[in-house]
Amino acid sequence: MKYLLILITCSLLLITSLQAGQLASTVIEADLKASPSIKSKTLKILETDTPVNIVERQGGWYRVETAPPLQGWLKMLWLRYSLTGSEQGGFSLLTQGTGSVTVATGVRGLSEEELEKGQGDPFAINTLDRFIVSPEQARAFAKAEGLKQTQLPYVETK
Amino acid sequence: MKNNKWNLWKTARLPLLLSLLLSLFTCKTTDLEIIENIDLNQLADTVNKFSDLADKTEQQEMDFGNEVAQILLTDSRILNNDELQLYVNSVGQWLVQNSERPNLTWRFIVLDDKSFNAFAAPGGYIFITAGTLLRLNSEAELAGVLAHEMSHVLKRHYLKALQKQTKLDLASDIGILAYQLNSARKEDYSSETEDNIELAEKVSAAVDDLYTNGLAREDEENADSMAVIITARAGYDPYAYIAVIQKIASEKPDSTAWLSFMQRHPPASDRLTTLEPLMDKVFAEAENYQTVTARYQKSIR
Repeated sequence: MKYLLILITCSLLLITSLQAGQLASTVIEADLKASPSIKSKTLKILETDTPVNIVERQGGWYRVETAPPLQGWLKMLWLRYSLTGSEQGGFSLLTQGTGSVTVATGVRGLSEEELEKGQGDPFAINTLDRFIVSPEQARAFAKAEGLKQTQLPYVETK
Repeated sequence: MKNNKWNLWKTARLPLLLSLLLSLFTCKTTDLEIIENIDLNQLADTVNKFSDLADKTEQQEMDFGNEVAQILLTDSRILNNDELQLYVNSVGQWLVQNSERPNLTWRFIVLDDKSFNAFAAPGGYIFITAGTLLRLNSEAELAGVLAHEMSHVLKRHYLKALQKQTKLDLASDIGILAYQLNSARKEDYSSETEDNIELAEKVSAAVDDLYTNGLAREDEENADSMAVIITARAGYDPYAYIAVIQKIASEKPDSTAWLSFMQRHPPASDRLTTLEPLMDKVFAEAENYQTVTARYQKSIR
């Protein structure tokens, strides 16, 4: 069980939580820290490919559990998640599914099948103006959750 | 100093200047401000002309994007859930306010599709599947995915790739691209010469190819690092984006489409490695950022 799937059917609610119990493993030899800081005490040095169970995240750190029962903190980028299948569940209005097609790269391309399938509604693109949110509405939306703007330039890392 | 710069401006040819301006297009606003600082009255006219041209090009970019978006929607259906569409547009528009191109008409579109996918079209069209929303945990993660796709538009990655493939000149030919694409889609060549038919089909094939094979590796890496910055500018936890890429890295490769795709692209694991120096440099102490989990969970159910 890669995800802990909590199904609460209480009135109309269906809540799926992916937060707890994500399995992962270390990609480098990593120091298991006592707190989410590089300066904190090292509890144990974990070999590359040590399996861990992610309990929570705080900033760039995961609190993990590993064998023998031991909890500590690892930097996010020291870990890769274990492979998972696709997630079930969904919106009541979700009618289409690509089933076998999982473009696992996410954030980019379409598959050949998708482009050739042709069951959509190309002209629907011009009916979307009612969803456009004004800058003022967007600012109010951000303010409601305490999102604060900061000035930050792009960074060249190469 | 001022004179030197003025001479530079004067000796440079108009097309050169124009292409320079266009290549700096992503920072259009700031660039124009810089130009305005240098310029005095003499330059004002020229700047206005450039500015008009830039606006015109922007409109053409949006028209072209509209054509591409229609092609992308020949397969996919828009999710019939107005509240959710509005929610995603709110997150998106807030990110837009923290980007370099707030004046494009951005559209954020949730597709009725279970797969884990998101993509963009020129001019401000951002698509995200319902399946992606179900896999994400928080608004900050959603913001990261949207910001990645926005970055492709901000930097005109799709447009530049198409231009490269079709050998058309960006400055003068975006309008032609859009027109050709429209003709190719409708197979309406009645008033066309044979040359134009060929061009139309070339453009159409280039679009198919680009959206099947994806963008270049450096475009993806560039969009990754921009996504983290835009997300943080908007007040969202930048590490949420790392969690998203970790999720992508853990998706099971279970189709031939996935395999052929991955042969041409860097694994998500490499994308994480590439992001590491940036995260260490800029976000070693990431404080005062929000994840916004509750509103997200409420909105997508």
